[in-house]
Amino acid sequence: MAGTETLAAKRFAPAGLLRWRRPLGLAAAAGMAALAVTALLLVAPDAVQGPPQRIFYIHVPSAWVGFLALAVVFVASVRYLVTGDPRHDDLASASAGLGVLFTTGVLLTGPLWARPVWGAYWVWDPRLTSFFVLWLVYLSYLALRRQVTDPVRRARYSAVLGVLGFLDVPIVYMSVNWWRGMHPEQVVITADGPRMPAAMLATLLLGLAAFTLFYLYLLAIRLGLARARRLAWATDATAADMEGTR
Amino acid sequence: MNGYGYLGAAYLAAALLYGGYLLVLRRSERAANLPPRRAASGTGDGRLR
Repeated sequence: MAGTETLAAKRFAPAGLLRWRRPLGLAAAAGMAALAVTALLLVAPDAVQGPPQRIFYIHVPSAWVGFLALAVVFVASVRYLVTGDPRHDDLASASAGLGVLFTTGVLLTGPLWARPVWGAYWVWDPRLTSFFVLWLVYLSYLALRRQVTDPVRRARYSAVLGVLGFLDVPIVYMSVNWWRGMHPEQVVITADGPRMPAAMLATLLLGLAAFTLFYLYLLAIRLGLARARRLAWATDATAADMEGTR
Repeated sequence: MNGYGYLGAAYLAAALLYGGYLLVLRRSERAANLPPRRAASGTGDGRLR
């Protein structure tokens, strides 16, 4: 395990995000406000689905950012297992919490679209089922972190889960192609290009940008908190060691 | 509930979830007694220790 002085000297790229925290917060707020106005008032309604189709503009960005957050957990977990640098564990734990947040957003908004369009809040469709499993895996990741008190073991166990859990992400993404189900197929990334009017696509892209900024803003806050907690634990552990040697 | 009801419920649920989470996170930050500038800058030069 690298010592504190070595870590301070070694560059940790995600920490650069922290300096952009305030501009990120402002940009995310502006993006969310613009998205709300565009998605609810400006873009034309869908001719078939009517008003519930507008849920798409927050449902898909929530899913995108959820996947992004879990991809960050995956990369940070791999890097922790390779280097043992606790800052990668800070990043993984910060992003995992956000992954659960945004996937929860997907699970809240999806059924509110499905009820008027499908006639049911939930069906055990391949996409919905695999996504629900993904949510449970990362919920268990957070539960695991609460249960293990030793920081090194906690980081190692959760890094393994962070790597294995990510295997479900491509399954979720491809589930609409691999199996027949009720969930719509991809409409943006297809062999023939986006299958939607330009105004709807622009609104979706605005949503993706706003949610990504919001994710980065929350990640900056969580990274600061994770680091502060780790340093506080290290300080307490050192004080306890000194008490024990007296 | 008609289509507008489901639409409103979805946007309200998302606003409460994400807005509520942000408030809880900011409260945790205050409870940890982290001045935002120091918490954000790590060692003071943008690096995390």
